[in-house]
This record gives sequence, C-alpha cells and structure tokens, in this order.
Amino acid sequence: MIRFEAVSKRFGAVSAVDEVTLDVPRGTLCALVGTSGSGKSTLLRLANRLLEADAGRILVDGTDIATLPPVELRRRMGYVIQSVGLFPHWTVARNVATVPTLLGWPAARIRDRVAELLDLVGLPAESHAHRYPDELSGGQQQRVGVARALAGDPEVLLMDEPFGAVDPPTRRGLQDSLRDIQRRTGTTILLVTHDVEEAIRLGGTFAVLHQGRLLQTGTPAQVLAHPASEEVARFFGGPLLGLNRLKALCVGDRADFTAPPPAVDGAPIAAGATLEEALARMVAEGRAQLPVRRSPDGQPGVLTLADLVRP
Amino acid sequence: MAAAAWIARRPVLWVGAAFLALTLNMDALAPHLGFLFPPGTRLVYSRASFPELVAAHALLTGAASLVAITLGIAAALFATRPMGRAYAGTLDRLGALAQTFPPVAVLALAVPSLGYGALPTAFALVLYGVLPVMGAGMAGLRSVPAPVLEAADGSGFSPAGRLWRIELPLAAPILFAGIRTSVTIGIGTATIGSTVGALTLGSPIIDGLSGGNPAYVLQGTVLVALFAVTVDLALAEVQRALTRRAR
Repeated sequence: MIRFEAVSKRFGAVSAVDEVTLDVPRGTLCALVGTSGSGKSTLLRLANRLLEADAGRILVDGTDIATLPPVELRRRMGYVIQSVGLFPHWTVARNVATVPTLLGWPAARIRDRVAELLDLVGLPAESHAHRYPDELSGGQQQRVGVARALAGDPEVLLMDEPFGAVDPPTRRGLQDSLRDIQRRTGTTILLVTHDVEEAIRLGGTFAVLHQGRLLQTGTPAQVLAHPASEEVARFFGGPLLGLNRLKALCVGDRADFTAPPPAVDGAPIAAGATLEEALARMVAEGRAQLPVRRSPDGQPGVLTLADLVRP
Repeated sequence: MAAAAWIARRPVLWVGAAFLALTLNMDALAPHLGFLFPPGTRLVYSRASFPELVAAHALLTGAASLVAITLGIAAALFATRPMGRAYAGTLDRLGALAQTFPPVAVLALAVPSLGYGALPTAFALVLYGVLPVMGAGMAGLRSVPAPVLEAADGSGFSPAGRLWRIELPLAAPILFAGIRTSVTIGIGTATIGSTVGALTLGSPIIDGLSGGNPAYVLQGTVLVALFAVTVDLALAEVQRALTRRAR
C-alpha cells in the first residue's frame, strides 16, 4: 500500500533519512521505531509530502506520490500528531468533519459520518459533538484527533507519536481502541513511536531506524528474538531486551496442550495473555507453572518457567 | 428590567447618545455657557456647523482608517507567508520608524507635495494607522499554534483555505485589537489636520487657540473626545463578539 524506494532526505549537512526502502502491505500496521533523531518522523512526513524527498520514490497504492497534488494526497491520508492540533475555534463535530467538508461531501453524509466516527472512538455524539476542544481532556482530544483523521475514509493513516502526551492508562485505552478500529476498517497505518511497549501492543511490524538508516524490519517477536545489530538490541532494552520479548509473545505460543493435561493448581491463564503477564503471575504466586485455557475450544494446557526461557 | 441591565452593560449606547445629542444641539447650548468664559467671548463657532464638522471628521478618519487597515492586513499577511517571511523584520522596523515621526512633521513634509487640506492629513493618518494594524496582524497570525497549522496542512487544506478558515479566525481577536487602536488614535490625530486646512473637529480647537477663544477650544475638545470614546467602545463590542466566537 505504501512503498518507500531508496528514499533519502537531507537537512543541510545532516542526512535525516538515508536510502530507506520499506513496504507496508495494505491493511497492516507498521511501527517506525527508533531513538530521537533516527529519522522516523521525517520518513512519516515524506509520505504525505509535508516534506519532499531528495531522492527515491514513494508509492501509495502503486502511484508515485510526486505526481499527485499534495492537497489531494493529504485528503486521502489521515494524519494524527502528538499535540493533536484540533482547531480550537471549531466544535468537535466540525473538527471531525474537516476532511469530508474539504472533499465536498453532502451535509447529510457528513453528519452521519461524524456521528459514526465519534461513536467509533468512544465519544457519544449527543454529549460531545457540540463541545469545543478546550472542554475536553487530553485523552478525549486525542480521540477526536483520530476521528478527524479517519473521517474522509482514508486508505492510509499516518500517526506521529499519537499517544505520547497522554497518561499511561489513557494511552492503553487509546491503543486498544486503535487496534480495534484498524481491524474493523482495514486501514493501513504507519505509526511513529519511541515506545517499545506501544509498538508491541498495537501488533504490527517494526521498522527500526537509526541515524536515518533502516536497520531491521519484522514482527516484534522476530526482531526481539534476533536483533540484527547492536543498535537494535540497545533500542529494545539492552540488558532488559529479554523482558520486552516476553511482551511480544503470548502464552499460547509456548504452552503445552498435549494430552493428558497435568494437574496444576490455580486459576488458568488465557492463551492470549502475554508471557510477561504469565511471568508476573508466577512471581506473584510463587510457582513455576501455570494452568492454561485455550479459547475458543477450552483445551487445557500448562505453561512452565522453562517454556518462558526456551529460545 | 433585563433590557435595562443590557443597556447598562453597554456604555457605548449612552456615551454615543451623549455625543449625538451634543453634536446636534451644540449651537443651542453654547449661548448659555457664557458664565464659563471671559466676558465678550464669542460663544458659537460659526465657520461650519457642528454636524458638518463631525461628518467631515468621520469621513476623513474613516477613509484613512480603511486604507490603513487594508495596507496593514496586507503587510501582515505578506510577512507571515513563506514568500514574505524574509521581509518580516524589515517591515517591523519600517513600521516602528513610521511611528517615530511626529504627525505634525509628516503634515509639514506632505504639504509641499500634496497641498493644503484633507489630502496631507489623510496621508499622515494612513502612515500612522498602518503600524498598529500590521503589528497586531502579525502577532495574531503568529499566535496560531504550530500543531494547529501542521494539522491543517496534514488534513489537506490549500494555503488559501488554511488562511481563511483557520488562521484568520484565530488571529481575529488580536488583529481586531490593533484595528481598534489604529482607528481610535486616528480620530484624535485627525484634529491636527486643521493646522493645514482640513475641516475637522480640530478646526474650532485650532481657531480657538489662535484667536484666543476658549469656548471654541472646549467645544471641539469635548466633541472629539466623545467621538473617540464612542468609536472605541463600539469597536470593543465587536471585539468582544469576535473573542467569544473564536474562543
């Protein structure tokens, strides 16, 4: 859906993005991760031509974006930034209606779309549509920001540290909502984050950037199990990389479901829980094995401490 | 009761009414004020009627303000667009320089090329009125938060659409404060236009000063002060409405 082909961007003497080639398939989420100055935000802003690439091509749905008028391109792509940037003089409804209005949709269709989206992001239209941005909490503002980005039925959603400015519980709520929305709408998402946990939770692929170069791509489990270089390992926690690996794998990946189920005490843990949760329970309950229940078939199994450390 | 409270909260209404009443009735009122002045003072200004003076004054400052506001907004827009950003500093300095010139000096310098009367006065008023509008316009446009602009660009606004729908509405309260300052200063400054022959509310003041007639000075001063305060209060009402809408 989005393809970067040997894309480079310089700011003066600094090479912000250096020959990056990256493919984000339709309907998937790709998290651009890396430290500050790694070029991840620059790469994102090249995709909707807020910045122009110095070299290489960027294809969206097979079309070189350099051949499209920037304004038209941006209306096809949702854009969410950390500081949200809601228009303070417009109500929530009018903010959400931004792109549909620019696209010239009929008023009735815009109204329906706004109600639908506010519902989707968990802000009922009756109680929120006519409020102004300064009457909302940070988390609510970011929800409106996401709704605004999705309003024009974009094929692609670009997000630059979208949940970086909200408190951790709110952030987890927003991440769950986003994952849910992505499953329902099938939107292709390119997301910038420096938060490893966020990238894992949103569950897509990683593209690890360092000093403008793309070091590694892959699923969280792949990248964390086999970091391609020192820089990648350092980014994913250095000595604590192993703990991040536990976040990227779930109980079902490691548990033993072969019959007969051994008798293990305690409440069963869901097969979909992360290994981190499993480890936390083992530590809290002082046991080296946990019963597991797999949904939807209810198959019982067991997870041992040894399963966690298996390579 | 509610209506009375509404009127009480809007001083523009009663100051404006006082201004209007005094303008229309000055000729009838003036003969009764002889006790204030030395005996033998001529009490009624006769070169032009007060409604005429007010109309001439309003026309002069209105036209000059219109030009100054247009030029000021145009300069502020230019200085905040990508093509003009390099000139922003120069415009700032030029505007400051224009304000350091005393208006009387501008008048004196303008007379040889523009002649006597309303034209050099209007020129000085425009020169004087541009700066507050330009300054406030630039401040207002720069006050729009960067994330708002980035979101507008990212949403696919055209440059003109972004300016019209996002930047100008958000800059309006600050811009309008500059317009209000510019117009109010203009009303006061226009009086000195009468030193070079423009017909304004300054005419009775100048004639009174040169002819030793304090009655004329008082009449001109009171009217021009009421005029300036009325307009200032009226613009304050507009500004309040703008601020409420722009939140």
